This record gives sequence, structure tokens and C-alpha cells, in this order.
Amino acid sequence: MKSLPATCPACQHKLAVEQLACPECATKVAGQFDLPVLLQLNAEQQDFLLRFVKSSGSLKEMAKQLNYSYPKVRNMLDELIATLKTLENETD
Amino acid sequence: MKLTNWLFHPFDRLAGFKALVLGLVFLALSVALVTWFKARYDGVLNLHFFETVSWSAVALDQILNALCLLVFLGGSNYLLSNRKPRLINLSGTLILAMAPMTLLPLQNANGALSDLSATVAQDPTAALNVLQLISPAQLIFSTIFSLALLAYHVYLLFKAYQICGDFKGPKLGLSFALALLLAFTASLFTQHQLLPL
Repeated sequence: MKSLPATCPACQHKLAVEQLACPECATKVAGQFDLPVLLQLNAEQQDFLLRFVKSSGSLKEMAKQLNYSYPKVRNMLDELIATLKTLENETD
Repeated sequence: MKLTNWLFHPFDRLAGFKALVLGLVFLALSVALVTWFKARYDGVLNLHFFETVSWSAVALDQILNALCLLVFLGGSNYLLSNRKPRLINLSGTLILAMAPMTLLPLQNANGALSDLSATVAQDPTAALNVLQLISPAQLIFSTIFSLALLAYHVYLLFKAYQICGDFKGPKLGLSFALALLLAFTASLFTQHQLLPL
């Protein structure tokens, strides 16, 4: 399956969802829905977040998994937090 | 991981206790090489050659240098970073960042630089005719070699400072430059007070 784009390829503006469809019965729901903040992260950030939750928030464990040093992983987390704050502010 | 990544971003993979152990190994190696090639560190960013040196003085120089870097770069990072860095990461990365200085005394492999220092120490006017005392090729090599290692040393110190803290904007560069200047001044001052060259 293709990955979900979060920004417009033409103007880089944040994309919104206009239609959702059930793959089982083909029911369609149309409207104007904002993408959840977590889906607006890029693939790398989403992967980092998933690993973070799966490792119970242990940065030491994350560092082992990713083969990075502890401060590098800590900096990646800080960048992710900053991105999430920016996205939340944009949504508000 | 590519060799260039290891050379230019070593602390992405190496920090904490492992970096500290490796840094201490380089520190011990630097004491051996500096003693063998008859030199003394003069502050955290300088090296001079002599006729004779004792290994204990060289070891104390390096301990003082490491402490000055830890106190000023580590202290600045602790006080100014948006989050508090871990001491083990700071000490590990900063001490490992001193590794390039280990190679600095190798330029005296043929003993020419310590002979030059001895001659100039006896007769300071001999410095005016330096090209009669040392070959131009060695002078050029020595200059480029020293500058390259010093630049790499400062670069690694900066990377260590950067990765251990969380800085935004110009605060990173400014606080690093000021802390390094203070570390250099303090290391010179304490060394000249405790262990004159």
C-alpha cells in the first residue's frame, strides 16, 4: 500500500481528508477531516515514535535497537517533540 | 557505518562509558607518545618540544587539560542547554574528542623539532634563521599537520558539546567558543602555575 502523504506536493500546504471508504462494503464517508497530528509526521518520525512506545519509552533500549548513542537518540526525541508542538500549534 | 561518518560524526554511535574508556586509552597513549617524542602540552590546544621531559609532568598536563575541558565545556553545556546533559556522556565524548592531539607529537619522529627547540632555548636569536635549523619540507609538513589536527580536535569538541546538549540558534556556537576560550586560558594558567614548562 502507498504511504499516506501529509503535505501537498504542489504547494507544501497541509493536506486534509475529504473521503474515507470501507474496503469491505464500499461505503463512502465524505467531508472535511483534519489529518491526526501523528499522521502528519514523516515516515522516519513515525517509525521512531512506534519504537519509542514499543520499548516502553526507554531511550537506552532505543539506542541499542537503532545502533545510535544515547545522546543522539535523545536529540532525535527532542526534534520529534519540537515537530509535534509545531504541528499542534498549527492545528489549533 | 562509513569511515567518513566515524571520522566526522563519531558521537552519533559512540558516547557514554564506551567513549570514556576509549578516550582514556587515547589519553594514556598520548602521554606515552608525547614523552617518547619529547614534548609537553601547553594548554588544551598547544604542544611544545623540548630536549628532555618527564612522563609524570606530561600525564599531569593531560589530566589538567581534560579537567579544564570538562569544567568549562561541560559546565557551560550544563548551565546553558535546554535540557541537562548526562555527566557520563559529557565526560566520555569530551575526553574522546582529545584523541587527535595524540598524533601531534609524531611530527618530531626524527628529533628535529626538539633539537630546534633546544637550540632556540640556548640562543633565542637562532629563531631568526629557522630555515638553517630545520628543512623547509619539514616546516611545511609540521605546520599543515599541526593545523589539521588542531582543527579536527576543535571540531570533535564542538560535536561533543553539540550532541550532549539541546541548543537552539546562535547560543550553541557562541557558548562553545566562549567555553573553549575559557578552558584554554584556564589550562594555560593552571599549568604554568603548577607545572611550568
